[in-house]
Amino acid sequence: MSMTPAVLGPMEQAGLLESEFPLYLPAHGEPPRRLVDVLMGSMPNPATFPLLTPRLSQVAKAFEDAVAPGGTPMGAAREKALASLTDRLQLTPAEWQQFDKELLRFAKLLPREGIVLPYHASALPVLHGALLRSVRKAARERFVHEVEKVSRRLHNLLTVDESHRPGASTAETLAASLGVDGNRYFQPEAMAQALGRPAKGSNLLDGARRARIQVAIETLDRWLADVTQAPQYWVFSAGAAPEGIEAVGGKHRQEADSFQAAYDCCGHLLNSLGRLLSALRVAQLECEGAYDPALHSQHLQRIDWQSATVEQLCALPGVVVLETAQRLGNASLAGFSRVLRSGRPVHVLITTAGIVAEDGLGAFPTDPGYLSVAHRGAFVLQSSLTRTSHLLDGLREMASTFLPAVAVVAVPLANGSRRAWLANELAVACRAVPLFRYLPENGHTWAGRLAIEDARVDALSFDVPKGSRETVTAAHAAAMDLPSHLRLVPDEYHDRELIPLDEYLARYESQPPLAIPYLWLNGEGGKACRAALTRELVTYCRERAQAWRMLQELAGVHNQHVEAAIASTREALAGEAERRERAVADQARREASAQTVQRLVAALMDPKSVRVNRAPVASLAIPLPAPAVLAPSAAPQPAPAAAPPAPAQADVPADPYIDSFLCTSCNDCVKINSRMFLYNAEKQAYIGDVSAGTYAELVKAAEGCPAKCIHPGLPRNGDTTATPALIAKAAKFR
Amino acid sequence: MYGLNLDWEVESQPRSCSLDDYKGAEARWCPGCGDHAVLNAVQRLARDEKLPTESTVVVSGIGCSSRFPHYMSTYGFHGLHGRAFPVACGVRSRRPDLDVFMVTGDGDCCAIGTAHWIHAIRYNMNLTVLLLDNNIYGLTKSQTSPTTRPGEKSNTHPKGSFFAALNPISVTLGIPNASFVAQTIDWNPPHLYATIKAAHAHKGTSFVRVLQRCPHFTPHIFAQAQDDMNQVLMMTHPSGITLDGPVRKLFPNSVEHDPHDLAAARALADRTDVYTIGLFYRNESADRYDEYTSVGIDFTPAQKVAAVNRALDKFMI
Repeated sequence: MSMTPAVLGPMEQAGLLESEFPLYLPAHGEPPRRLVDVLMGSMPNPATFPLLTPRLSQVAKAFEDAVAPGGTPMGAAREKALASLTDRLQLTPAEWQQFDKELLRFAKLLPREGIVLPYHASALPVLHGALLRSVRKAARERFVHEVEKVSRRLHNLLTVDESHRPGASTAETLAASLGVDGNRYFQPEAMAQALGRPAKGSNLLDGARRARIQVAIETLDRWLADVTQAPQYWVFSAGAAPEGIEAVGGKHRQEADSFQAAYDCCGHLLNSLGRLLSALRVAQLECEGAYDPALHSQHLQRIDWQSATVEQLCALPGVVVLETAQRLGNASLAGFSRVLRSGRPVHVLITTAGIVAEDGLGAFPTDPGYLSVAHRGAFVLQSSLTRTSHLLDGLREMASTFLPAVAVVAVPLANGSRRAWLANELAVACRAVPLFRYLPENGHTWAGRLAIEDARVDALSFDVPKGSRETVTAAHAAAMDLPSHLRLVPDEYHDRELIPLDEYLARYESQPPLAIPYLWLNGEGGKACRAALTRELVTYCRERAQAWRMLQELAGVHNQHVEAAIASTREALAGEAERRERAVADQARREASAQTVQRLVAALMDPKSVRVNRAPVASLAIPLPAPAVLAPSAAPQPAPAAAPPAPAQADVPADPYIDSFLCTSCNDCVKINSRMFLYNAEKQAYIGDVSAGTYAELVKAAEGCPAKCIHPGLPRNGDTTATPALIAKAAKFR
Repeated sequence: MYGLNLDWEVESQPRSCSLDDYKGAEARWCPGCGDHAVLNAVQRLARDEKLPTESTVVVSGIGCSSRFPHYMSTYGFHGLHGRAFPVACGVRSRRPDLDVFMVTGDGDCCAIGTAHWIHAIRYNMNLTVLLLDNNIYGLTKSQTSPTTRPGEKSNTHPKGSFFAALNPISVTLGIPNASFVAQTIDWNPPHLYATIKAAHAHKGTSFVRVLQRCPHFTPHIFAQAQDDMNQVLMMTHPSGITLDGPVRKLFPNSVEHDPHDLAAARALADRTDVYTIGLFYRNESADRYDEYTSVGIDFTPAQKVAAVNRALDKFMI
């Protein structure tokens, strides 16, 4: 039975079922793009390709059929796809002639490098590898370059030291250093003899330092040799090698326990990075001549990979484990959990078959996404191959994190047919495979860390035949792959116990209905027909809806406590508003009645006067408080303000001083008296010998100082220059 | 070729630096001149950063401030009037291993050297440019300079200048590809030092205008601001120039300004009621011309010939 859910029709019309595949992966780390866009973009002017432009989708289809599951290089794919067009297109011989010309021109315009990826499970490791490379390549090259530079400097140190040792100055080395024409003017042999190394005063490296440098060089060079041979990333899996990863720098290793192997491999790489960092630090200190064994030896031994920067970590080859959800649930959970708890930057790619586990709906499926989030410290991405932009964004973030990372991705089970794409897309659209990212470094709350993406909330309900409306559920997605869980209901059969699935699920919340749910399928010849669901499928639908609801709660979208608090606050506010309204109404009523009574009294007392003074009414309504009379004794008069204290002469520092850090070194004071004003090691002035000058000089310097940092203090006893006028003038500098 | 000897390039022993290592000839500026403060700040920076004297160059034009290279014991180039920028760019473009400081004055930079100034800012080579602006031609005994304010008397305008003064900060902020524009005052050494230090650390042309007193010809210009720090407005920001400790308290006025905000920087630069100091603008990602000009300088003559031949081969018919 190759039936499809009837909701697919309206979804297609709404443009919700457009596949991004085949994808084009450019060669130099640019982001992947839709092949159709690349084909379209290659034509500078589509009007000059009148036959080709309307047939671009068929060309893209030809590409899709021409590529291998793990991707095919653009050149090969182009050859094959364009050649196969002959069988696909119906054209007249004249049109063919024109079409061939257009094709020839078009082929030259297409990019020459890059990879074309079809919709297939193998596309996942290739995409992941490509992003890993594009995110880390530049940083990796920078760090390797830095290590090379440091290594070269160490080699130079040793070379110089060698050249200072006895017997190092030979005629050959001198001839080399004299340059091309040097031999015309000098005799190297005579010079070698005259120089007679070691020259007096040349400092040779001591033995311990030399040994240290040699060890550091060895570590650096070994690491450089390793890193240049290593692939961009290792892929560990229990199965056969995934196709296409070599093209993006990956290398496969088949291991029975892939998690253990990846854990060990990552540990080995991190340890060697730790040794390298230690050697690098030693090397840098040695290059600056700043290595002090007493100070550095102990600390440098403690350096490990945890102290590496992001750039340094980028230099490591990635370690990736490829696993299926089914195998993970059955066999390798312990290893998986160990990797996630280790904190090592291992990437785990888990492929799931979307809605349907390989063993059907017998039990609740393993949920690797939830399992990974439960480890709290690992980056987690759950996505689908059909949602390319979400997947690529997530993989890019994953490539730039150095925590353990997991990507759970829904991929087609066997071949990447259109039907498989639709099944997976329905699973995403109904939230049976929720899209989310968990970022452990994003704050301390679940709401901050867990970013869920709701897949088209507003587009979940569609009109289906017979005027009814259906919401996409897990059952629709399952209908694509599990026809055995659906039973066609004959058109003529009508029963009250047969109700639409939406209604069934809605009623289930309050009371499980005694009825059989059904959904609409496109039957033979496109005719709409109803299909009843098995109990397992309905249970599965409810379980997936519940899982989505729980995920939302976890991400802070819904929170029972908050909702209850909001409801109670809203209720309290509503009550308060009502009370206030009632009070205002009561007040107005009281005023009105008082007014009426007064008008009545006035009319009765003085028939001529009907004017009512409003003032007493107001006082009737709102009684004015009696004017408060304050007893004089109750408010003590503030005490008369004390006279400002006379400036205490003792507070002024008697000795002159300079705020040296503010001195501009302008030489002004030094020119006045070069013994009284001196410069310190920072070339900033301070007071030297006070007795070497007069108070008048001090005040003159203070007046001239541009930074106003000279404070003359008080005159010394016996200083005849200190007139009262001068002391008054100096007062403002104290 | 002589000169390529490892012995001269590699130091196996540590080097210690003191202020005296960077002192050149005795400074002949007038006592009280603000240039002394800048000289001292640059020497202290060189000592603190342990700049090797043999790979540091100070380039200048003509003017009081341009006597700077004589007073440093590094390499120096006392150039032609207004031509400090081309010399500095030239040094930088072929010797990217050298640390280049450029000292210029308001006459040197903003009058005769204006064209070079504009294009050097555009090129954004890695230079530390110090514009010592005292609003007057001091070396030639008091003539009006482009930054002299209206009403200031000088030998060329005995009744006072009647032109609007040029604002070097506003001009620099208007030049495309400017990457570091700051202003400081000479009479507060901690701020001066912090500004020059930030300018030196920046990769690209860092343009620092130092408001500098001339005690002889224009002693009154900044006198009020010296006495009253309320006339100085300090821009603060974590990515700008920050002071801490007791020095911070000397500046009663401050404003928070993000140096990546060009529009706000221009508005602050145009203020005339206060002397705004600190970092106006910084753009770490601006293109640097010296990264292009220095490509291939390590080629041997044989490699250069091969590269030229390769280029010529493209035109072969």
